[in-house]
Amino acid sequence: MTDRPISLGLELLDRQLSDANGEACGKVDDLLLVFPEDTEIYGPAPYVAAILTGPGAFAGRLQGRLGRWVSSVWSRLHRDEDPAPRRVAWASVARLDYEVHLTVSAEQAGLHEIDDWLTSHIIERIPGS
Amino acid sequence: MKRFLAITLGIVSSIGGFFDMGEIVMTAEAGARFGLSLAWVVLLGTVGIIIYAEMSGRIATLTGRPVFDVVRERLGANLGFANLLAAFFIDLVTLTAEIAGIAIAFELATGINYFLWVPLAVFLVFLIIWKVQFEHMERVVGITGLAMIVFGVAFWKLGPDWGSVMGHIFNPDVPKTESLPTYWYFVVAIFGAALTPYEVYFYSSGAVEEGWNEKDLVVNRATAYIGFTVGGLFAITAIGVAAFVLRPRGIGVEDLSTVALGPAAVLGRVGIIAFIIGLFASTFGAALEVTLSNGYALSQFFGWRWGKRIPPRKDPRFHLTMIVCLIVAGLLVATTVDPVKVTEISVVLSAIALPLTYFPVLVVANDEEYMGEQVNGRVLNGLASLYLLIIVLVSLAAIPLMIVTKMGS
Repeated sequence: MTDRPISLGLELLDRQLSDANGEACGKVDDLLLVFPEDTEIYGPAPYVAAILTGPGAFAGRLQGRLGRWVSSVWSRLHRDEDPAPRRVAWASVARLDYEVHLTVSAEQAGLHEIDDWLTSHIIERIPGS
Repeated sequence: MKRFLAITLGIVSSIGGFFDMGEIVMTAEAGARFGLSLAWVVLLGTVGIIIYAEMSGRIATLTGRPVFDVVRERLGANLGFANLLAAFFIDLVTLTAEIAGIAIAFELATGINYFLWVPLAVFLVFLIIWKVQFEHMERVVGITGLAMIVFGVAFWKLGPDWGSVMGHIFNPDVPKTESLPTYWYFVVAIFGAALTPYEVYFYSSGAVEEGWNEKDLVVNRATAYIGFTVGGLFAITAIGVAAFVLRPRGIGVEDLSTVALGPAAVLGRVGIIAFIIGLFASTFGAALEVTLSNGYALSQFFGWRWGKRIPPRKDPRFHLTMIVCLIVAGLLVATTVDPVKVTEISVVLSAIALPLTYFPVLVVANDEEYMGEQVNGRVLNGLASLYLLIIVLVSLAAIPLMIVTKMGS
């Protein structure tokens, strides 16, 4: 990666995630910033700890009632009691161009669950799939 | 040879995408009510779709990123999501119209009421999407869709005075029987039908499906220019036939069998048969494109795997989206909605939503980081910007005109 500064809002957010096999596996729906010494805003600079992806992260970006609605539908359907958006650690980012390339596969990043469920419960029951 | 075959992508886009229910209904209505005075809008719209389809195809070819990928990135989460919801809804309305069109083609061929053909129409579209290779799908539908040349043949046989035809196209005068707002309402609707956003969703995604690379930029240019021009010519001759056959007899377009009267009056039995084949092929082609477009739009917006070339178990969300859309559209047809009305609604809604799709395309086509040396040239950019202005004006005018004219009635 180069030293060129990048704009998180313009060059990272809403970009395509691509796994180690080059397969599409979601979007950069949101980012997790961490302040090294917590609560101290004027301390060391914050860093991007993880990419957040999936409906939970996306709902947080939507404004107003629609966002809250998407978010509540998502947490209702999620099997966890109080679900958190899916995180992809920044350490798994290999490089950035107009996509965000990961060093791990979609399975390793835990981004395959919805697809697996839909395939085994619906797709495979349709003849000729 | 490969290049030559690839040009079918443009031809199918022109026939299934350009000359679809929207065109068939709107051109017949325009000709029957306004003579040739709306034909210039088809020309205007054709140039617009050529410019923007070429840009979207070029972006997809060079970066592998079709339109909705670009929409998400450039419009962000909120505005992008608004566009997604609008596009998805408009596509559903359009799909409803196209499926009705397929079923009506069966009705015209057999005499059996079209409602009974809806399940078969839905099933056929599903089957092609589920099983048939992208390239095969395109070629078959593209070639049969050429039957719509029946309008060209009929118009030519009508033997109009070409000088006066040109005069009426480029010097339009609004018939005294119609009000000015109604005329402009039809301008908006015909423009919307020509630039229906699903055409670029399908076209740009098709470039990725076919694995275009830099060498295919020639193919992209040729298909956009030739394909949509053919579609535009079909549409203008369809207006001509309606203007010369339906208008003098005071026949209004209430259903698709009225549209068939044009070719029938001029060419007899052959005209009817060609029209039915053309109607089937173009609505079937469009139904495929619209269904795929909804799969493309949703998948590209949320970053899912997508592609007709990928087996359904590898991209279940993409394929399930399409199945759900087909079922919903089939059910909507079965509610006995009037197919002509649904078509009119779909083209006006398209007109309203146009800017949100075409603006990001223009922006990215100018981004050197993406496009390298293939950014828009100065002339093209001037033209594309002018069109964006027209697109915005059309979009702003659509709702007031819709209300004032009570949807053109």
